[in-house]
Amino acid sequence: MLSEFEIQAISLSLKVALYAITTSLPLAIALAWCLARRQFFLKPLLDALIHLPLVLPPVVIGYLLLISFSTQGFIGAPLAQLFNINISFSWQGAALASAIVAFPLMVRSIRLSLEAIDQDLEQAASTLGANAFKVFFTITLPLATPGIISGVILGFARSLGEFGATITFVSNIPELTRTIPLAMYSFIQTPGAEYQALRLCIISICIALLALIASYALERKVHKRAQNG
Amino acid sequence: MIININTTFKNFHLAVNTVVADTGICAIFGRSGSGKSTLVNLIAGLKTPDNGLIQTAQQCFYDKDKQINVPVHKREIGYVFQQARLFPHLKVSANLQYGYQSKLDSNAEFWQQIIHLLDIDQLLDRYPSSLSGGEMQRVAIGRALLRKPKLLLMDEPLSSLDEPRKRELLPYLEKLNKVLKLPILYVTHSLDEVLYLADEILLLEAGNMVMHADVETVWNHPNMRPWQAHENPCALLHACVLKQHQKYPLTALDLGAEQILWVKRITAEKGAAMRLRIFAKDVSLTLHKTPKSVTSIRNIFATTILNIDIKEDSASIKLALGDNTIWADITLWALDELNLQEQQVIYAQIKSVSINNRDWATS
Repeated sequence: MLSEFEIQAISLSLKVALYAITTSLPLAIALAWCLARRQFFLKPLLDALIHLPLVLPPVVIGYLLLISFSTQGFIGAPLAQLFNINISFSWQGAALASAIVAFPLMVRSIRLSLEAIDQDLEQAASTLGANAFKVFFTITLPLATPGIISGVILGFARSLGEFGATITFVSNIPELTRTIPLAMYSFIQTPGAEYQALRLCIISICIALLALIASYALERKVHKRAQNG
Repeated sequence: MIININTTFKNFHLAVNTVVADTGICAIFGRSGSGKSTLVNLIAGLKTPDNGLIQTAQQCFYDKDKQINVPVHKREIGYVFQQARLFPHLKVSANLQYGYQSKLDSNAEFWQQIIHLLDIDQLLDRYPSSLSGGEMQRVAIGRALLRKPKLLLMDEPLSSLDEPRKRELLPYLEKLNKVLKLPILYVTHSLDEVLYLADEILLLEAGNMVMHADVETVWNHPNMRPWQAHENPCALLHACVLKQHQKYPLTALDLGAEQILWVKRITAEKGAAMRLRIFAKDVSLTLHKTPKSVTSIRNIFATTILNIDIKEDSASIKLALGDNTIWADITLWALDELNLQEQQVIYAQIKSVSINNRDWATS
């Protein structure tokens, strides 16, 4: 049904998105919490920095990643020398690019749900003997779950659709960095490959629909649990 | 427990220096904005004072001199808020268990005791959003108690409830005070709740402690007059059940000094101590004692006039009745015609039917 080429592109896309989201989620939650709950010097600057990938052209992000993470770059060079790690032109690089463009969407949605939590509940928990750690994991985090889920879905979708930053940073290498959008781009560039492009297009729509339905069901479940059991 | 606070928040100053009894309910009473909730939050540790000392019999919460400021979660308190603040994502049972240390075996008994005391065994499997306001507040009280606090703080726990729910919850609070031996600080601005529950009153006005003493003392003190002027002024007195009437549904109360007051039947054992309020509007005065065969009045007492307070449209007469003080509100017309003077002996008449079950509480 699916060609090997398509399976490769789909599994690579899913792998990249999965890694991008799971590894950046804890940081997204931490930063969202800081922005929602703490007042500190330079908070507007941090806020702006986090949101920057949302407004920058993805090609700019890709270029910045390229110059900093290439083997000559100021991050890439020490990484390569000390740990023998090179993420440019690899799927990890694609995951990094995806994580960066998806990050503001996640932070935004988690922050909103954190801000919506009634802090009186956290106060009540502390009068019941819960330290800050317990309050966060038993009250704050569960109550923010709907926001975290929608943040993850948004980020996942953004990550699956990532094109500009990825192609600039890790190029379009079959099996390594050719995710669904990049594969489609290749087909579009190839004369006579309209049929393959259309197939990928339909696959993309199916994945997106599945993700939306899954998120809807999950959110409903969480919401129901929070509202009335 | 010792409370000695003198602190300023932005433009609000709070000064309280007193010792609260180690059992019983101390009502923190005052207008909204008088600092009642602030005081309780300072004790809970949700706010920090500039200086002072807060110390219970078991634990020092805050001591500026010794640089002690125990964080909220390490203070052994139970806090019942105005809104129940139940965790919406947890079932009632999980809410109750939140602060509960279930490791000790003996605690199972304690758990059962609290569940039964508050009648919440039917609610354990439900989520907070499906509970009524009264049920929520009962669960919140249970949750606070299951933490095994050494001090219970209650910040207007009834004020978010409607009148029937309040009446539903009051007996639980009363029971609580009798069963559990721990000090309870109870913030309120309702005289009804004070009458029903409190053993002591701490009166706050604009951040300053005006008075702190047992209920009868504070209640009958001039400081409380402005409060009572808003509602109907009334006197609070101690009584105990003497006997039941053999023929009619009436109960005789002993007011001390051989004064007997007949009221509508109170089902309580002989000798049960209670607190009783008599509204000034229900007391009338007469110069001559009328025999019971010619008047409907069942209670006639010889009293001495202590004070006459003439107001715009009426006069408040303060009367000594045995060891107690009661008030009678009469018209200025009657005051002139009877030609009342201080220290004069006069008969006070109280209708038995004027005292109903909202006017007394066992103590």
